[in-house]
Amino acid sequence: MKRFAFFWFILLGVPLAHSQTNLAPGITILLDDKAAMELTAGLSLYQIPAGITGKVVSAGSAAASILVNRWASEFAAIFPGVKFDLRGGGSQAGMQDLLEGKADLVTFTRPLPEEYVARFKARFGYEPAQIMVAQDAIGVYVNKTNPVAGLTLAQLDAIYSRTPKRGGGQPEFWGDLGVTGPLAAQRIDRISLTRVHGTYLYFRDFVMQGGDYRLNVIFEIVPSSLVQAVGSDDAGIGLSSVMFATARTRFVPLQGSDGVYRLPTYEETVSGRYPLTRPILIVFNRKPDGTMNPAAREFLRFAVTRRGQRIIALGTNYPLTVEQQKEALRVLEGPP
Amino acid sequence: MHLTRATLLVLRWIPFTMVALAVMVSDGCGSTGRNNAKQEEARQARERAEAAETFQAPLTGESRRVSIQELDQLTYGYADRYFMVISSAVDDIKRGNPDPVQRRRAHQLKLTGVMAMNDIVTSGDPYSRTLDLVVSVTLESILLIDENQAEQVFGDRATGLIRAIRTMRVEAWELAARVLTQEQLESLDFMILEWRRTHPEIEEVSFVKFDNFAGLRAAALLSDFKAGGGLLAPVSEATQVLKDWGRLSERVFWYSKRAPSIAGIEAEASVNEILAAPEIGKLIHTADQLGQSAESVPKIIDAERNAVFADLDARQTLLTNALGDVRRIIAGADDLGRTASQLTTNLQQTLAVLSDTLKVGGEVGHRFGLDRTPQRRFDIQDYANVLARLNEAITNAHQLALGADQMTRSPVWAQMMQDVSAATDRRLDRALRNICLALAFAFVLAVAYRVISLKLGRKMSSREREKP
Repeated sequence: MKRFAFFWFILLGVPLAHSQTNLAPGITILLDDKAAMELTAGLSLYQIPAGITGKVVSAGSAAASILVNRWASEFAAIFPGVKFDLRGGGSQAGMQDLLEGKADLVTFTRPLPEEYVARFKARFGYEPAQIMVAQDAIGVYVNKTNPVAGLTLAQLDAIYSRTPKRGGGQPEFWGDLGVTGPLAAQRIDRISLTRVHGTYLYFRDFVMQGGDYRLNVIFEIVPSSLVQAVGSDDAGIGLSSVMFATARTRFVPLQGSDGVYRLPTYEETVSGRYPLTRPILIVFNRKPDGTMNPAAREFLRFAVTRRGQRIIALGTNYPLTVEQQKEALRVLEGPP
Repeated sequence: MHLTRATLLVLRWIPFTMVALAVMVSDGCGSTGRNNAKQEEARQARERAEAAETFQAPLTGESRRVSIQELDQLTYGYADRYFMVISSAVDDIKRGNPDPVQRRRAHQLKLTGVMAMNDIVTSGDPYSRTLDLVVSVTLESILLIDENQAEQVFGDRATGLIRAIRTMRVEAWELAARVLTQEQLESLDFMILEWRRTHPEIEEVSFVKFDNFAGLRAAALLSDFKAGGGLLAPVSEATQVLKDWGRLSERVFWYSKRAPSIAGIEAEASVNEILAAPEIGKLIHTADQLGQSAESVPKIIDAERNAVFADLDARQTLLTNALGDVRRIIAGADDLGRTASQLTTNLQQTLAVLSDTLKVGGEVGHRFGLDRTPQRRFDIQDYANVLARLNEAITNAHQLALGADQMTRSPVWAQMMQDVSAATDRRLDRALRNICLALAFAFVLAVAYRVISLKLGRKMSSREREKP
């Protein structure tokens, strides 16, 4: 056994030790300007067509609507004849607007639920179209002073769920999660976004496997407030898009399917090795003959080309890869 | 009113029946206590879950609408709490804080925050006021918490301030959630974040207003809010005009009550500003130095005393040495004197020779009528010899002076001085020890004297008593 001690140390000790010492604020793992430019350099350019006018109504997820707003500011400068009505309100309400013809685009921060597809099909007779416009990861935020080395999905489930289904125990204090020092005796302050947010639903369905949130979870109205709550509370933990990282919070490495603990960096997100990755989707109504609101189509084309992707990449979001862009353009321009 | 016998019977039995039922029920509960406790627990959990769900309802726009008057009261209450919470946090930072920069920055924070809040709360438009309040407090919280400025400026003392700012942000958003829909709240959050992203250089964010947010979305949000798109109850224009007068007087009254406190904070900030001026800083530094000097006076006196003693000893040594020097100088001077004396003698001899010569010459000249022929010819060599001796004497004196100067600069001299200093200390210690011994001896003598005098006194008195 002693012969393999060194081997065990390398296998287990080094990754954990690395994680424990990695107490840099979460903001440091996000893309800087140079990386944003490099990652988008291979994407195809936007060709400006003539005579685009009309109105685009967008609704849906709060986090995704931030991206839509950034694109809309630039797009409106190119096409003054296009008017925008940009709303948030959650993807559930947005989908209802799409069904009622009140919205052209609905943003999602999770895969489109089958139930919504079925409802749309029942209403129109064909499936809704969807494209990926960006990539995102749900970061597990803790205070920058929190030394927690890493968490498994089972532990996350046990932290948040009233009815844990992954066998992660019943952690109440930080010491239950392997934390030592003064924080070990402190109770875990669980923070989540309200139920109108995609993160709430994604986490409930994917991590908690349909379980219920604990009764002592503190709910925040907007993502920026959630991250701030964690930043001002040594014992806080919260879940939100990585795009809201601040100087007072850090991300907890999560154990992937291969057993390795990973941070939600661009590389780990794109490769899907980080376990809580999710696409940012825009769902829209395109008839079987390919017709749709031309202003909305042009807006989507703008969003996925290099110009649109650079706008969001410079704003700390993760842009599409070349393959993902090709797929989005194919859906937009090709046959249904 | 007459009651029948049957009625009376029933009435008489009612209390007994009720007691019996109560006993039965309670007994039943006791027998199935464990099951009922579980049921009760489950029921409570269900109720709490429902309450938690209901709690989220206002955030999704399902609450009742708030009137403008209610909104006024909410904002007044918020401003008062802001004053209280932020003031407490700032005062905690200032209390016992030795860093004047931290104290000044903390007070500045309180002043700008409270001023901005009063400015917002006393504005006439309730719609803009609500949005301005959320914008101001949220930006302040982003700067101090998310961008970590509070910790950078106040270090460990920032904890209370961070908690306070966070509390006020949460309350501001709770207030906003009373009058804005979830969608509007998200829009507002997005606009605040975008504004900060594009204006990272601005430090004074308390006075940033919703109007500063350019763009269609800001205008759309405000117009939607004013048109009753939020949770604020719409009122007719005529009713609004009438109510505005009442609200104006309320605002004036509210502000007049808080004006003295604000004036106090402003006055303190002015004092801080004055104290922070470079000239005043220099003055304070000088005063500080003066204070330090005053504090170190006893040490200085002690050091001076030692220095005086050392100096005295050094002088004494110097005097001793100087005396030697003087002796050597005198010896040199004696040589010089002897030289001068010789010179004088030579001069006298020369003059005598000259006189004799002149006399002899005069007589011869007079005898032979050759008065113009001298007896001995004038020789300049005599004068040259005298000058050479004089020069030798002066050179000797100069060398003596040089020798003394070199001696004072030499390491031997320094060592000598140190030895003298050490000797002085030893002498002082010895002197003190001697004084102590003398005092002790005197004390012993006094005690002995006292004892002897007592004994003698007793003997004397006993003898006196023995006398017949």
